[in-house]
Amino acid sequence: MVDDPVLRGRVQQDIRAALEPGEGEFRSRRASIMEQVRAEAAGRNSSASTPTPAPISFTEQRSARRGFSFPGWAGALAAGFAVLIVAAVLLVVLNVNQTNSPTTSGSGQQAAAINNATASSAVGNFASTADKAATENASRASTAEKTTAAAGAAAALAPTQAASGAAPAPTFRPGTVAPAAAAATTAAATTTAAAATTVAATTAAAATTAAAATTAAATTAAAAGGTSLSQTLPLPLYAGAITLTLENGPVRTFLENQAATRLASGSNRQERGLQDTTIARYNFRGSKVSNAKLDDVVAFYETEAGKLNYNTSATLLQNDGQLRVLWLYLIKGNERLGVLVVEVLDNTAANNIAGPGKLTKGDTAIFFATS
Amino acid sequence: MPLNRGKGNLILNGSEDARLIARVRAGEVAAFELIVTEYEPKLVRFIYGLTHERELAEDLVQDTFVSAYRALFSAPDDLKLSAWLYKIALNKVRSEKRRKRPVAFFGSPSFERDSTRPEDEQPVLNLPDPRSEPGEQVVQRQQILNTLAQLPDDQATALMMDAQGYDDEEIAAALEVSVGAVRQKLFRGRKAFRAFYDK
Repeated sequence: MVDDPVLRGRVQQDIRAALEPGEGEFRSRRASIMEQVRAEAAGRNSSASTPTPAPISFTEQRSARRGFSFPGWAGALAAGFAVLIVAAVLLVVLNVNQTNSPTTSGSGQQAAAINNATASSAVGNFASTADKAATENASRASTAEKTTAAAGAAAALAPTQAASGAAPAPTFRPGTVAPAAAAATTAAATTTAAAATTVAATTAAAATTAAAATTAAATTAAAAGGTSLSQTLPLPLYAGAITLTLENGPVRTFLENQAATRLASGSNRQERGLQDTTIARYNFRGSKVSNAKLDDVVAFYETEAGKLNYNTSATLLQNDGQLRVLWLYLIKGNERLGVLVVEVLDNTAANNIAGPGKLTKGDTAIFFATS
Repeated sequence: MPLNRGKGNLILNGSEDARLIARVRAGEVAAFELIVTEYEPKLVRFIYGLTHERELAEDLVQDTFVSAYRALFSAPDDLKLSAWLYKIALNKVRSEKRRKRPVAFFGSPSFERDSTRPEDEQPVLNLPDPRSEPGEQVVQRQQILNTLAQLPDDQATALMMDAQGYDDEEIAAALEVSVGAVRQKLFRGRKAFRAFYDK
């Protein structure tokens, strides 16, 4: 790799010449840059004495709440635990029944005994009712399946609850199997044992499903418990912000006016998602926070956007004694999101932002623009 | 504050960088204006060399300075301003490029560069010699820009910073690569220009 000094010089010269502006090219943006920088500096100075609010992220809150629900593996574990308890109870029952009734043996027969204990009382001593008893057995087994599945679902929420729910299931009276029902008992045993097997499988599946359902429910509950503003937004709410009930019209008009005043160039507005046609498609959702500085709010959202890998551009739209207005435009892939932050310094302009009575001096409004 | 000149260009040296940064951090906005005054002309040309769009270059240089001001307060004390600003500018250009994809980023309709490909796989330049028709300075300028545009952006950055008077260490800092890698990029970039000249 030998560097040719002649080639080097020629390339340098040609590139310098090519980048040298012609007549009227490259207007200096120094004034605009410094205007933005001064606004940043003013905000920085004024916020220096104001403690920065702890940015409690809505996303984090959701994550934290989600942490209290059971993930899939925990649900499966709980289900397994519930099945073990059911099996243990059956074994206890078996032992008791073996002691009291020599006609039943094995877990399937025991299960049949459990069900036939009730069936026998219903059908009395008539052997012709054996089929009926078997049917009832199957029905009860099905009920047991549902019960156990429900217990499994409950186990996803609390294993101890599942245990207590599963334990009372065999409500039989030991030693009450009538001789007349013995034939039915044998027939029903197979059905019940099969059902019992299904119970175990179903319990695990139900518990897993229940775990997922529980997670979803917890998330929904969390969202319902919090504010609805950020449910479909990728960005969190600013700490202490309260949701504003908004109509799109006033904010849209406000943003259109801001963009038209500040950004004369069409390409400038296009780059920032501030063309009139683009603004017209925006839906706005808003929140406001009291006594927060625009700079802190902007810094917070820039940080959050950075965490989510958005490319962010910030445009200071107004900075005077009435309002400080900054537009953050977030881009990630095909995703576009605008965040309009408005710090109200004077009541004169407050009603022009989101409509009468929505904002007042000392408020900082945060509007999310999506289309 | 008078600025020292280095390598034939207005380039702040390390100690001046540190002093300016300290003044900006102390709240002296005028110190930042010195930085803007110093670097805006270079950065706008640099960005223009990568984008071929004058207004976009002006927008991006504005974004670059505003981002730089925000980040200056948490930047390291021994920051090398020039490299840092070029790095921010290059990132702005790359972000813009990603945002505009798949629309052709550069204005030239013949532009087929794929900067996501490794340097070695970039297409060989195949441009007519603008010098065969003397006097067509505009065409020649466009050809040089097209040549730059066909290079991967780190090679183009290295060539442009080199042309603006930055040394290899500063280019390496801006590109976050080793000095050896910078020399390789410069070598390959010049090789592409040689192919253009030899046509």
